[in-house]
Amino acid sequence: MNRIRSGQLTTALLLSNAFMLMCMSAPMGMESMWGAVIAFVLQGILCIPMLLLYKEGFTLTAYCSRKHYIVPLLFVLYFIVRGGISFLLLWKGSEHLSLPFSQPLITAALIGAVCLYTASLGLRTFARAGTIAFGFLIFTLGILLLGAWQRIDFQQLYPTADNTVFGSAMHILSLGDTLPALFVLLSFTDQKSAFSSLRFLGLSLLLWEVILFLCITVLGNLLSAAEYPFFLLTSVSQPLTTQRADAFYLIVFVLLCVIRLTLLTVLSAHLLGMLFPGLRCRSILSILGMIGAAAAFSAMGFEENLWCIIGIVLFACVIPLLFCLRMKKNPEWKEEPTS
Amino acid sequence: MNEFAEETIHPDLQQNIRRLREISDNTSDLMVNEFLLSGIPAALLTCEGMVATSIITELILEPITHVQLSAPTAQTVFSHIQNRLLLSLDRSEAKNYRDLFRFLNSGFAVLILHGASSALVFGVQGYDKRAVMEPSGESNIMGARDGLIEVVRINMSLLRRRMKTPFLKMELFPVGDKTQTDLCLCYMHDRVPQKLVREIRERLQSTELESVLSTGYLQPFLENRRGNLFDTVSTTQRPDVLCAKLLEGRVGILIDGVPYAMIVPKLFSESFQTMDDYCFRPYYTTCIRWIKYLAFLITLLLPALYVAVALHHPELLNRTLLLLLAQSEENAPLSLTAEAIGVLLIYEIIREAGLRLPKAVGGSVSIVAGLIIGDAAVSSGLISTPILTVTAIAVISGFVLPDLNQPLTLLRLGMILAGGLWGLFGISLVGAAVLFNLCAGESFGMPSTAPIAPFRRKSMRDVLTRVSFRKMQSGHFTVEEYHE
Repeated sequence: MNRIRSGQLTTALLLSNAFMLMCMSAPMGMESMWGAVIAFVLQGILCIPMLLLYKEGFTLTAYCSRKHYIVPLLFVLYFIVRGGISFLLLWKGSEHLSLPFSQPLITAALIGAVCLYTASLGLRTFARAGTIAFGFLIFTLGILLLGAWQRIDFQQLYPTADNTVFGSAMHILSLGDTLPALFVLLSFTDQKSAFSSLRFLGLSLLLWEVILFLCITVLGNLLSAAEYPFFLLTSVSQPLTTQRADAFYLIVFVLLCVIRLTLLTVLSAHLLGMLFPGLRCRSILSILGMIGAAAAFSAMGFEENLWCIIGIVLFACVIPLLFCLRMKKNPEWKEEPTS
Repeated sequence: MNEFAEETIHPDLQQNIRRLREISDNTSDLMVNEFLLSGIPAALLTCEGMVATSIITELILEPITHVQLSAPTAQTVFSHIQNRLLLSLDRSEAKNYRDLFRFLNSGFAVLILHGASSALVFGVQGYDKRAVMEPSGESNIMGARDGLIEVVRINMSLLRRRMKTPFLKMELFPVGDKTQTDLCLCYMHDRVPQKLVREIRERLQSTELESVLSTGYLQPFLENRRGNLFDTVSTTQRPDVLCAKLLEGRVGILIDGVPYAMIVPKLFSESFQTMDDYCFRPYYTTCIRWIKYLAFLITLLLPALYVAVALHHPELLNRTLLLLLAQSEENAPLSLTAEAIGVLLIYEIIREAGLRLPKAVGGSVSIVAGLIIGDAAVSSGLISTPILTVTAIAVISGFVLPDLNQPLTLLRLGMILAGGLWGLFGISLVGAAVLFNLCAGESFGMPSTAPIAPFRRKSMRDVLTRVSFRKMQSGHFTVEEYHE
């Protein structure tokens, strides 16, 4: 896996987060905006052990080369599960996107096929594509703001009865599943890991706050009936009077979905490759695993909940913390293996 | 490898001539003029039609027939000619038959002498060549009018006329087992990364090609990855463009017999730049550049978006447009996707026919295509007017970017198919795959998508805008800055 720049790390994770934001279906209110602040502060705190670990010189490549299988396999499992959840969100979201076919399996197969190709091109290609997609995202936000600003009603910013700050914070934290990806990606990033992480969290918070603010102030009373507030926001905020711009949001949504799934596939395939160098078709295995997980979650009626938060805390904080504590006894985790 | 490649030149003149005729199988254009040089049997070999006869007579034959040495041997005669007679500026020595034939067939006169196991060669080329004229493919308004031609040495001089700095280095070497084509590697040795030059030289010299007859023969050896839709090696017919690229630390490759120069590495953003951009005022160029970006999106996406929206997302259209489209498509016998693909295929057929036919007939192709097929197809109701209009706009937008014609032609068809089958979702998926394919493009460590990804804010002054030369003059940009 090639190294990527700290800016590319920020954009890649931010885009992955943006997809989750688009798919957010929880009730929204002013509490959500405070909840987002708390959730991102918590994420910042959760990052501290991994930043300390990387400051010590830890690399995942060196760790894996010492034949430690369990932790990397757990990460692979985590990425596959999160990929499955992403597929599930896509299926649910696609009902609101007027796709020309109703069968979720076709959607998954098409997205899977594209992700297979994009993941095969490697992390560096992914990072470059992320930079361009970030430009699209900014442009989309510009169009959204252009359509929404005349409909903003500040009087809609009031506390709601069916929402709490804590509840919102926990829900947003459960969606912030990119921290474990950040832990793995920091192994392949140039220095400035603390700066990259802070920038990523800061920009993510800004994005969440902007979208939440627009959803609350533009949609107003419609918000309580909206299953997917972002999609409703795009329908309501049309920048042109004679022509709808929904097509543009659909294109960006699919692009973000591909980027997110590619990230998860690249990471899981790469970890599998580090553990089992002889293993072939790693990307295919990862994608199939994600589709399988999505089908299972769909059958079980999966909801974003406490388990997601436990997963994030475990992979983003507890494991790095344990590594930090054992680092002194294992100085070989520091060096890159020479090939 | 030829069996005579390393065979040294025979010292016996008659055996030598016999061997030469044997190797060339008595080819008719090998001219052997035997005479006595200071009493020693000698022969001047030339290739008919490749040399200037008057130059040979005046500058070679006339002086050497007057050579009279007191105790002549092959070595002393050669030494005398080498050191005392400046018969030609371009002089060399051939030690074996491979070198001898390469010089001979490049328009050199070859002097062989009884008793000498080498031959002296003199550059007296005089073959017919095309005059330096305006390039047909890269016309511009305010730039220079001269273009590269088929003779590599003339092209080198066109370059040197613009770049008088000693830092411009040109390396000539032959490639191609049979054609022995002269290749000239040009670069600014104070700007170019030495690793890049070394790698390109190694790749070109390690090719096992029999012939190099166009740029396409060498391009695969200069590309890093198969499966790229977009070129990572650019070509130009213009010496001024080549100079500008060399100054940015790129490497140019001139091929004898080809009026194009190859340039490595190529960035995707260069497809939107022309020499005229640097002649016009910056605000106008910036505007034109954004029009080109728009044209790129139109040529790639417009027919596909039209098909996708009309077939799968009619709710996205406003009422007037929807009624207009519905009315025109009402009586069309084919599906919208089939119509769009059909029209584009017919256009490609007409374009190909216009390109390959003699110019006199080429004009009639346009008449048949435009008037008869176009008009008749619409009036008979076989093709609807909107699809024809949309396709025409897309095709004309493609003309703005001739560099991207090949990938855009294929991608346009792919996009229509995806849009027809899966609507905007399909277009987004194909778009994502194309984006990743573009980002995967790399040329010797330089990403094609630079300076956008990886992002370089400083370089945006010649990508998003085109600032004045007052600002661009400082910095001495080289492409090495993009290396990853």
